[in-house]
Amino acid sequence: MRLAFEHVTHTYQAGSPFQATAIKDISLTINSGEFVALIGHTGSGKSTLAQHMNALLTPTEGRVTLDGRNINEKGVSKRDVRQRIGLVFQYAETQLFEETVAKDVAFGPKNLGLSQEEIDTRVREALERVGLAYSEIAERSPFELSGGQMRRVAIAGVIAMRPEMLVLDEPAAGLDPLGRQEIMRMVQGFHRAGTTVVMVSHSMDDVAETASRIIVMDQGQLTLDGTPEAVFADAERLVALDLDVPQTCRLSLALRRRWPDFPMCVRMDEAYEALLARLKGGKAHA
Amino acid sequence: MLENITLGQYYPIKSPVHALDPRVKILLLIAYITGVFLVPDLTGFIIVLLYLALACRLSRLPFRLLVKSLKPLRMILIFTFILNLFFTGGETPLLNLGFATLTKEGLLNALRYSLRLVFLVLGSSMLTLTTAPVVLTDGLERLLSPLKVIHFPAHEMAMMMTIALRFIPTLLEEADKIMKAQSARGADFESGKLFERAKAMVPLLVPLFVSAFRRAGDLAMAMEARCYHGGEGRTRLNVLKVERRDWIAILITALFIALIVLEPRIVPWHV
Amino acid sequence: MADEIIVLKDVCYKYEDAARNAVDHVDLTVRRGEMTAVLGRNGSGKSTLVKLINGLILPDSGTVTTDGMDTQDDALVWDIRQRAGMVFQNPDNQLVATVVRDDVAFGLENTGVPSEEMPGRIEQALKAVNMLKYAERAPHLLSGGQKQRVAIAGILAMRPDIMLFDEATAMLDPRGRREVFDTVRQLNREGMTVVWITHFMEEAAQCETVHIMHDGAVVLSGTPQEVFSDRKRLEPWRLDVPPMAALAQRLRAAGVALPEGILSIDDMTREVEALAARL
Repeated sequence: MRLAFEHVTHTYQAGSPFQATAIKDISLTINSGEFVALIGHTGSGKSTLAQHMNALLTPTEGRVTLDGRNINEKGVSKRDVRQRIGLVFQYAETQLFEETVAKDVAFGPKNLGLSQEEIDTRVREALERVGLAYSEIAERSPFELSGGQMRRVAIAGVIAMRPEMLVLDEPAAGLDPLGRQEIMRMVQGFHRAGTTVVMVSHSMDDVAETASRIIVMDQGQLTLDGTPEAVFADAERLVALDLDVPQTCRLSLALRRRWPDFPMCVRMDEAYEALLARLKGGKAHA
Repeated sequence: MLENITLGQYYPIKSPVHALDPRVKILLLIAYITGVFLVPDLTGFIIVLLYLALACRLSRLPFRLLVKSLKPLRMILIFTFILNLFFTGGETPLLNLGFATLTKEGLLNALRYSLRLVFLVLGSSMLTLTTAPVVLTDGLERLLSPLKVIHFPAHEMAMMMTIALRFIPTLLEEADKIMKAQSARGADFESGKLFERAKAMVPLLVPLFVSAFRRAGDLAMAMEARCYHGGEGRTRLNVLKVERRDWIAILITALFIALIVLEPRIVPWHV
Repeated sequence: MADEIIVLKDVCYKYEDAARNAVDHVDLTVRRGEMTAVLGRNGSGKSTLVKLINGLILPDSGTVTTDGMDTQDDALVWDIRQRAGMVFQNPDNQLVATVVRDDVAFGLENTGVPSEEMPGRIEQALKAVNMLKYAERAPHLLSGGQKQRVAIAGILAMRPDIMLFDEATAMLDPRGRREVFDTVRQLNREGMTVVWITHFMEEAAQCETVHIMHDGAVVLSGTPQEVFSDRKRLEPWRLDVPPMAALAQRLRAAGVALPEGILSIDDMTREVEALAARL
């Protein structure tokens, strides 16, 4: 699978006095198996970009193609596109509406016109994949669950469509630290199981530990695109954009005042190794 | 994005009309409406037109904006005109169409009723175009507050209006988001028969209601924490004061009413 | 003692239909001018605790004394809420008016402050949160961090002694979080007593006192250095220490002679440099 943006621009309320360009001339390609993190400030265009990935928004200029075919073309089924590319919105639990968890998760598969049998299988599978026990939760009302459980049910609702690519907008927002960790582990699990992942996130620490590629948006434009090592090597530039960098990067920058050759550590383990090497038993340079 | 929608018709510029006390503006509108109903003959509408033109000029509103407010009413206008044209009766035939006869009385009546409607709408739009909804609510609250003695909830109604105005953009944004989220799960809000389309709204409406209730609960808690306990003992940031320009407006309107009433005696002809 | 501005004595509170107490035999004291963090998992009773402080809910047993006033005393409820203002989690659900200035006025109007006095107080409050230039804006056009700062201004204008924050940064992006936290930190330096509920360990690490809640009880209290000294100790309550504290602990375990009490990047940098200089 190959999702490509070709010079995509999106202007809201074009032609009115309120017109605002949310993303400008974006070109990028996402291939099967990637774990892409999309970062930037609120209002930088990340969410607009994400909503172009499954044809919820149509470009004002340029085109978005899936395996070479323009997804907004007449004759391309939007439903197919949305089945192949699942999108989980921020605070996804707000979309729950059915009487029972099982029915809510079944909403997507049902819209795909699958058989009842197939729907049941998928609901079971999806709930399991988000770490919820089908037998305990399937017949409960989604509205009596805890916040973290509701979030999982909402994610299961998208997973049940068996997308090849999963786009998640801030999947861990508003949860407590343990809830965050659990969601991050779950997303990593999806990726390991073969799903291509695009994750919009504010948390640089999460991003540094999980993503294989980072795309930085600023004021509707793509400013950086590369591996975490490459992107955070430019930590000073990110700081200049008033964006967060992982704590380990900030530590590395601070320590470079003493050791100009201190490596740019992206993950905790690297920071640990680097510090251990310099501090353990007199090995440190003076 | 829905964040830039303007609510109501309010046209935010600065002008002497915008600056009038909302209570005065509401009362002037009532006077104006009375005036329009008092117009004795077609000639009288010239006075109404002049008054409105003056208001329009002073308000610095583009004239087309005012005219645009008539658009939703065009069918009713045409209907009123035709109805009066053919069903008034009268003795002075102008034209015989076979199935009906056009009379002079019919034509005059049709003009009179249509013009009355047109001027009523234009006058009301004048108020809503030059007064922000919140200010209008505020004015209404204060005009109606004497009715508290008969337990009319003037403050509560105004507070409800204000909160509704504050939350409409938020809820619209939310509706947009939920609609997209359900579309991402393959929901179809656009095609299908009427019944199917109504059914397709459930996945949008349930979350929207759940969210609105949650917001209402949060808001009630936040208002209580900020010492809200109804209208009693409440002071206001914006003090309304009737100023010189308000008196001028009142005077002009009084003159307008007087002219309308006296018009048959001043003008020698009667149409 | 006059120094103790909030005192909870053996307080219990149970929600209707709930199986157990949301707040369970809590004793807690906050000193005047202190910035206190309350940590705990979702459902641990943190929010209930702060709502008890300004009398939004009343204890089933025990007493809550806020600024010398018993919250059970009906006659004092509006005084208590004026002195102990509260900012909530969702920035959208606590602004009432359609214009920032009017929203800041809301609390003043409710407490019957004379109209002539309001503009000055509103201006002062908006200035303190650096939002004066947005006074005429509609709240729904502001960012999350800006909305929260307007909410803070609305409380500030009422001239409280205490400000309670119920996860006020949970729904914000890092920039908004910084804006709000720095604003509150500044108010605290100027003398405001602050109770700060949060999920972010880095924020708690910058407070003077940290309380950890679990299943309705306060299970651990102390300075951030004390509370975050050992990762293992926080495990039963399913909490973690700030990332730098965790890193320091790992290094200590590997035999690196770093001292206890490292919480922030600044601490870490300082101690690493000091250690390297000795090596």
